[in-house]
Amino acid sequence: MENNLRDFYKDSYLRGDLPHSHDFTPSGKAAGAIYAISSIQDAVPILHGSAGCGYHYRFVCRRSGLPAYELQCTGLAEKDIVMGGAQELRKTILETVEKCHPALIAVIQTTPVDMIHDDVQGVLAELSPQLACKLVFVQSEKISHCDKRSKGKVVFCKTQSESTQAYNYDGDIKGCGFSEAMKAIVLHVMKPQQKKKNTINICGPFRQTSGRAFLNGMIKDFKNIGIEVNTFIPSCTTKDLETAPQAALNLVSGRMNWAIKMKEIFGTDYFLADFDEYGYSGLDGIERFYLDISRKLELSHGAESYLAARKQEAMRCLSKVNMQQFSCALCSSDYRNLTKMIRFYKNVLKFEIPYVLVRVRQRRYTSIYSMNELNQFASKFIAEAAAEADANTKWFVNPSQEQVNSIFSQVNYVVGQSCFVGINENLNYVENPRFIPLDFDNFQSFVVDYVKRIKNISHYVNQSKNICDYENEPDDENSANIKGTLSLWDKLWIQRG
Amino acid sequence: MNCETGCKLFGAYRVAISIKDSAVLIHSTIGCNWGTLFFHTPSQLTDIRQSCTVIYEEDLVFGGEKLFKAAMDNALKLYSSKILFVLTGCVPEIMNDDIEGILNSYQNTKPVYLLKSAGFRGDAFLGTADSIDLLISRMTHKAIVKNSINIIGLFSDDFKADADLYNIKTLLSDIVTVNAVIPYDFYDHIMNAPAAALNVVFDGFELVGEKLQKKFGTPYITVKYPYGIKGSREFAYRIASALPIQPKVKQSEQEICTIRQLNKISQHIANLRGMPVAVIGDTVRAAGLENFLQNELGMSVEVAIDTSKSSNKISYSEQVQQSNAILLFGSSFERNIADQLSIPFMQFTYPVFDKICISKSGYTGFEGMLCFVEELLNILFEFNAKGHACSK
Repeated sequence: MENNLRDFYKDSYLRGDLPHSHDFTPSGKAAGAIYAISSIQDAVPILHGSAGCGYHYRFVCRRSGLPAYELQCTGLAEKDIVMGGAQELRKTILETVEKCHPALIAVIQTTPVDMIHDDVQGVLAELSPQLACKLVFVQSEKISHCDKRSKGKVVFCKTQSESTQAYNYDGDIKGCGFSEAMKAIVLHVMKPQQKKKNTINICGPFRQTSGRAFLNGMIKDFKNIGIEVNTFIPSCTTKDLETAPQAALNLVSGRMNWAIKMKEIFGTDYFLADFDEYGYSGLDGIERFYLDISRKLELSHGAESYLAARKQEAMRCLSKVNMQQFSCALCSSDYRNLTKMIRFYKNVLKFEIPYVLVRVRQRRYTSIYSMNELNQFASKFIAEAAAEADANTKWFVNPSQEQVNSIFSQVNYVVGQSCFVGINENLNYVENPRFIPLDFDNFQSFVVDYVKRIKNISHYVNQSKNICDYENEPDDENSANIKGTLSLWDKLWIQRG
Repeated sequence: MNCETGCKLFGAYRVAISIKDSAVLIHSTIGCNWGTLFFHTPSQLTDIRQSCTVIYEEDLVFGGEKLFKAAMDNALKLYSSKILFVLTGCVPEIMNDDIEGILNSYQNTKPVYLLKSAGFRGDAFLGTADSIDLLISRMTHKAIVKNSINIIGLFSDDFKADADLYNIKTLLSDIVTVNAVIPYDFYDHIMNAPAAALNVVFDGFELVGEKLQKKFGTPYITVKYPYGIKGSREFAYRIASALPIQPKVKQSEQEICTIRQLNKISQHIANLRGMPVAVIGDTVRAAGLENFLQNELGMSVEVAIDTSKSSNKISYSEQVQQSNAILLFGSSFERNIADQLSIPFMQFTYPVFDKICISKSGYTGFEGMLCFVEELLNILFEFNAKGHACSK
């Protein structure tokens, strides 16, 4: 086995990121449903709608920039909107079976079909007996796209009165295409199974932080504490999905509505994990991650001793690898993640953190939060993070350029997000890690590698403003239009209802 | 069907967003906004000039008119654009929202263009044609500027649009002045189209040439996309002849320089002769590329699919599979066909979302010939190297 992190770097750097367009508009929910179905190795999604939907929805951002090439579309024309599109659906299903020989076909409908009420169930019931492949209808709970407005408000209201921990919601939103598709899989593909003790399903949506290298590392440590991975959902075969309920636990990282349904029907419990939260806490976080899951599976005794010993061993190996003699200014434009950043740079890397600089800026959701409310909102997170930091750490919210320059000149490194980096021309800037493995072996390698990279940084000279931050660009025609687009989104959508 | 063509809304959108000082309001559900924006931005992340009325559940009950009115008020205020395009998608057209009625109350604003572009009404080509028709309908007669041309058929989100246009303008700089590029230009330039002495229409846009001729009497010629040395020479020659200007007999310095460079790698280029290839692209580029590959590089184009005219009876994938093609030219969506057949792949046509172009490395004109051949050979070398690495 290679003793390097190449696969982690590949997953982090060589896979497509979420496209820029997402900053201005979500995709329709069909994208999530297509992502779920096209992730199943032997399934084909059929989009029931007009040709344009089939054309552009082939690109599914969650698939790391890879289109869902196999997507089929009924290509409804005007006559189908008037007379109904059942005939086109029937034809497309039969053609898809003949051409692709899938084990599963899932029909996902677009909003126009939601409106004309095609009898999709009827078509599937009629064709099912003639076909060897399974036919599933992904039913819409909401039209068009999932509604994140109410969730945003709930999160905001909760954090006004409770701890910021309430912010860690499960990411499950009504009308989410991924959840709708997965629910259809639970209801119509999965079958009751004899439970296998100490087995888990690792469940998507998989993103960059949970690429294959990340998952492989976890599988190894799960094995060490006696937990076996049954399958990956939804990146498995239809047969694997049928037998998925044999696992004792579903490990989910978000969008868990379908996992709740699976528990109701098949008794497979679920565990919602915030991988980042565990990873940023270092060895303690990794130990806690495996303990939390083994406790859920009720096998904590054996696991506890193994994990404690493994953690001790890792601590011994890493004892000399730290940044103890160096000071840093920690920068963040995402105040919600401050606590975990403090934990990482202070506790894991052992940096001295004399300064924390936070940018609180209102870019969108202007109608949910006023700037004043946003400051209050942010201050709760900042207060919680401050409790993790040293008492003598100085905190600056939206510092002036002079303050930034002065602070940066007093520390060895600037760490975290690049929100203030463009202002100073000559500094040692260390970006937040792109990945943090959640297994002991790779975590050790990661810390050694990360510290080595930090120490190798020699005055990163920033020639200009941060080119990634379009809001820092001069006020030209483009930035006026961008502001117009963001503002329109707020007025036309967020302020509604 | 195989989702191989866009709908009417996509065609209308591409015209609307190509106008450099326009803004676009899409009256539809969010997916239409997402899809169009995504294909528009890969090489121009900051060119965001569009919004969506975000039709949602409540609007299906009450209609989207109130929503549309609010969107119009805000779009006119918030965008600094010269004109506003309103595109309607499937949902408001099924609901029969009275968009024309609402727009009648916006008489004294910047120009507003309404394009009813529900996806079920037709394909992208129809959307493009209707949008350009609408622009033509508002053009008025202008005094003709001698030796000036309009170039018709280039979009802002075409792969290498800016670089190709730069090369084309360089190629023609000694012969003519470019009056307007339709639809990829400023609104005033487009409205000034009737001032051109000649319309140079790329394959597939003949109808636009005809309409301009009918309304303003401007003659037009149809040209192939100027790939290669012969293609570029022919392109310039045809324009000069049509104006008419005495075409240059002597080779330009640019052309001589290109040939000199190509001679340095003549053996590599000779190796391309007879290579069976497949071309899948839009009308503007596919025919020009096929011509270039066959007549200048000596390749054998076994499959040439014009995606704007495809009847969709046999999928692109099947047509390529049934051929001997060992190299595929297409859009980003065709990559999997090449992957399935383990053959090299080169993007050249819309949509391209897995490659960017911000340099002057266009494929048109003499300079573009070098870029094209360089890119092509490097793809083949890379493929060869990878094949050896795998078989070791």
